[in-house]
Amino acid sequence: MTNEIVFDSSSFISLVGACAGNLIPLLSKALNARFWISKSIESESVTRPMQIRRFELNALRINELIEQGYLEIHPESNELKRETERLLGLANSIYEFDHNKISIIHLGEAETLAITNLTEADVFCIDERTTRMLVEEPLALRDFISFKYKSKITVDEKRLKEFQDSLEETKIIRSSELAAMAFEKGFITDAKFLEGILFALKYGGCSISEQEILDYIKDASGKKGK
Amino acid sequence: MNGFADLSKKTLQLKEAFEAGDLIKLRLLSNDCIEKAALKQSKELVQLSLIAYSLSKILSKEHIICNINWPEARKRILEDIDFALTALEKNDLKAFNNSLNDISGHITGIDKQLGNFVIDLMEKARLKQASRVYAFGLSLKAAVELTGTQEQELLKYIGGTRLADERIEKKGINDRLKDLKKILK
Repeated sequence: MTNEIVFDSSSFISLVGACAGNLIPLLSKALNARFWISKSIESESVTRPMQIRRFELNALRINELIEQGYLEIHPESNELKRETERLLGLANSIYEFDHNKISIIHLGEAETLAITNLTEADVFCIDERTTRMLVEEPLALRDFISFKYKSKITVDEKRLKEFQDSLEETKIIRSSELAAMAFEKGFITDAKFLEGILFALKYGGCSISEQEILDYIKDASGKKGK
Repeated sequence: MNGFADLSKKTLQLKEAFEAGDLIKLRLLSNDCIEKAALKQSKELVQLSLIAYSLSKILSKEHIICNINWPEARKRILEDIDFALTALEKNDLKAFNNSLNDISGHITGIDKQLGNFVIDLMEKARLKQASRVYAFGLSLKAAVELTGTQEQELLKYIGGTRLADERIEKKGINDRLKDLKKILK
């Protein structure tokens, strides 16, 4: 049986940017996994950046993974469009400030969530913090925004429940967990090298703290007897 | 016309701070505008934020403000800010946006002519303020959409900040890895 993993662009951009894009084919085979991306994410990560010199190399690397079939583009459909709009509408009407609904996520993130739902994917891989918090810790996200704005942010409980029910089964990982899995599978043999990759992912935008990395490396080094 | 009153106030603050050469006020205004823009999804406040940020950067560059062409450029920017204010008095949002576009055009022109960097000032402003939008809780792509920056650039920029160290994650690598192993068939 195949495992289905849906990727947000933030994850594979971080991986490829950390020169760890080669882990995607290795993990695809080892985990018997299909890695999905959306059509709009392909254009954001490949088509558009290909026209900008600063991003051309990363775009080429990502395109190569698509052409080799390791990153698969989920076909567009009316069903996907409807589910994307439903989730986007729900997500962007959960939080309210001063009688204004806060547009917390964008169509691109809603689309990957919709693909996760429609394909009944096992895992959703996203490196950015907000969408992850929205799914896993929506009230902590409310508190976070309230703290930042020093203002009261209210939550529409009904909309939140509907959103949570839609994504109840969704398990989220980041590119850092894929790197850790690659280490456990033996594709990365040196804990020091893993540390380097995890910090490269962090500095590439993966929402992971320095302490988390150091704690994990400590554990991982212990397990491998280093 | 509450929205316009707020825009008028901010545009006037922009004019005063720029005229006075007050970098700090420009930066504070830029931050205030982008924070409000994130909640209200206001393109006009985004544009004001980017202009205020870029002007603060320009005023900090000696090789620009000491250049012989600077007084004329400064005069044109102030004229366009006045046009923007007049447009708001007439409730003409289109003319207001046109004036803001003209100011952005002047800034890009000055930067192209006198600047030293490949990444232009307005682009830098987009990136900087997109990271602020993200820092205040909106998603990465929402920040990209609002400011017009590049996602890859923003990811890299955010990676260089302490944002990810601000809060303790509910689940660390070990917890998520355990979940992943349980799920995979």
